[in-house]
Amino acid sequence: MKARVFSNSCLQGTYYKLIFLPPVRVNIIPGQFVMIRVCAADSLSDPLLSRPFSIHRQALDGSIEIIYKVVGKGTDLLSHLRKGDYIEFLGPLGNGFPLMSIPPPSSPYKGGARGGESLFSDEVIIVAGGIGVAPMLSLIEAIRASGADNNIKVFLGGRGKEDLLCVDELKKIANEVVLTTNDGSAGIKGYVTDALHTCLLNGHGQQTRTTVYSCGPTPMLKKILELTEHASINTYVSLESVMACGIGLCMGCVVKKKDNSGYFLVCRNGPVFDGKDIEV
Amino acid sequence: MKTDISTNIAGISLRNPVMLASGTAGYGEDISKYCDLNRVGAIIVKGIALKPTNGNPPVRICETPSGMLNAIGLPNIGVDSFIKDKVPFLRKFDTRVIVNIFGSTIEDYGEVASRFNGVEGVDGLEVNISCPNVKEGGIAFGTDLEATRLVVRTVRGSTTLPIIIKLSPNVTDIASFARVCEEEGADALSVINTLLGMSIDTETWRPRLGNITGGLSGPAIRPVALRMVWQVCNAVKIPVIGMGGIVTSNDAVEFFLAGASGVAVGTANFINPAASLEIITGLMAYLEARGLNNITEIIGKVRVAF
Repeated sequence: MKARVFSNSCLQGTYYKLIFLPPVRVNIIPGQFVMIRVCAADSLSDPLLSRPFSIHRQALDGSIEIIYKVVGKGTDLLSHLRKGDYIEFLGPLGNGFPLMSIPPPSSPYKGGARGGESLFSDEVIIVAGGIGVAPMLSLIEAIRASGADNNIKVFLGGRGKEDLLCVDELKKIANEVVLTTNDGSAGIKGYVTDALHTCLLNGHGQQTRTTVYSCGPTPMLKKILELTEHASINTYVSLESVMACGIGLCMGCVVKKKDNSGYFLVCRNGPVFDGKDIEV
Repeated sequence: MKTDISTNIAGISLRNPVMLASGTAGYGEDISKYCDLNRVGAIIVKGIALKPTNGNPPVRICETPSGMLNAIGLPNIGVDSFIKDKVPFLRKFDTRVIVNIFGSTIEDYGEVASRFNGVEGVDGLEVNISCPNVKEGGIAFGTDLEATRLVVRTVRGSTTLPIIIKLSPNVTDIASFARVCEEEGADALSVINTLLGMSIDTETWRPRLGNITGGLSGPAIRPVALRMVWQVCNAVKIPVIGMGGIVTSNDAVEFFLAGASGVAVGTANFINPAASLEIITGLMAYLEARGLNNITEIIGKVRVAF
């Protein structure tokens, strides 16, 4: 599907925000992704494949926002697009985050269910590393829109200050935002998982029904799952993977099933997984 | 007069000569949401073996200049599940279904082939003797003339369905493999499977694929595929299905001119799952623009001056 670029601007450093308008309105669940390919004539075969991007937000007019970091040829081409240019896109694809919110007083608590049934929790912890923050703002907005009054705590980490995105927006909507950087240029010096560890040691997730949502580099997700498994906290991770098609054809984007029975496809079975189901 | 692109390959009549290549269209379900399977010539489903297999650990794919490397490793649900759970879905479409099969032994090939005898909705078998990423099903058979002979002979003796042998490009003389297949009773040939390749991350000094090596596909291999199709078409009388980096209808025309009776679209499905439909439309337009009424008018018509 062709979509028209609304705007494409540098957020900070090598991070950009692209806003495009699909020809038909699509409904999006936070955590879903799109496949995007720049359709300039000279890029017909190099780069060849589309790239997967987590959906950042959807505006009221139906336009879709993604934020991305320029890391290679594909994203570099993308960063040169201007208003009025066209991209090829497929989406929304995959399964988004299951929404967990405080049940309205009248409804009975339903716990431990998966796939369609809503789960409820009192506290939401969001852990994002670098560009992994992309789907989190709309996730928090969706939780808030559901009328719930959860305590939402965000841990946002990056290598340096320039890797911390959406900080102001997060501060407006979350109850608490903890920033970490590896080089100490902003927030607490260290890994975002260290800050999460400290928080969990201080008793978070012990007394309350807590859900952790996370997105970021694989080593970060691995550490988060170690920490939350130890603390018996429900954790959902959004995985990033190399993929050629995004729709289950290439079978390239696999993640190992926890029960050793094979692999999930990140595109079709994810990108959001219950941490209990996978081995990252 | 209406332009006719219908064709008959290996005794299978096709509404048009454009097929979905094995391993790029799964068992049809996912791609059917984006590509009307009623409009393609045939779908060649992802490889099926006797028993289910999981495929290779990640990383399974990486992009290379105008192409991609894959080492998926033939994950499959096994022949019994396929017949029970997937064939009924495929039968809903007015298209031809060709099942790609592989095995770890020559006997396996015969056994899995025989399971499709009498299965309604299956029009032919494509025999994979050329996957570069697994010991089973793979290249060990397709790069050895005698092993190729035995696989084809065994499959021929096990099935009444048309059989199409998918050849490996990772050999010195592909024509000799084509001849062996023809001698043993193959009905058609698929030319080519992926080319064995490799890519290394210069930051980490690690191979970019978990399997270290993988199969190269996409426009990068098109000239090699075309050359091999041309060589094979000159070596045998049985029809050839050309494949390897076809993205546009013009790419497909090249393969027809080289002698292919049909083409299969592979990697292009990943970029645009409706690519095959655009190629069909483009092919019609190509013929009409030149006043040609039938696809046969371009097959093998490359003008080679001697």
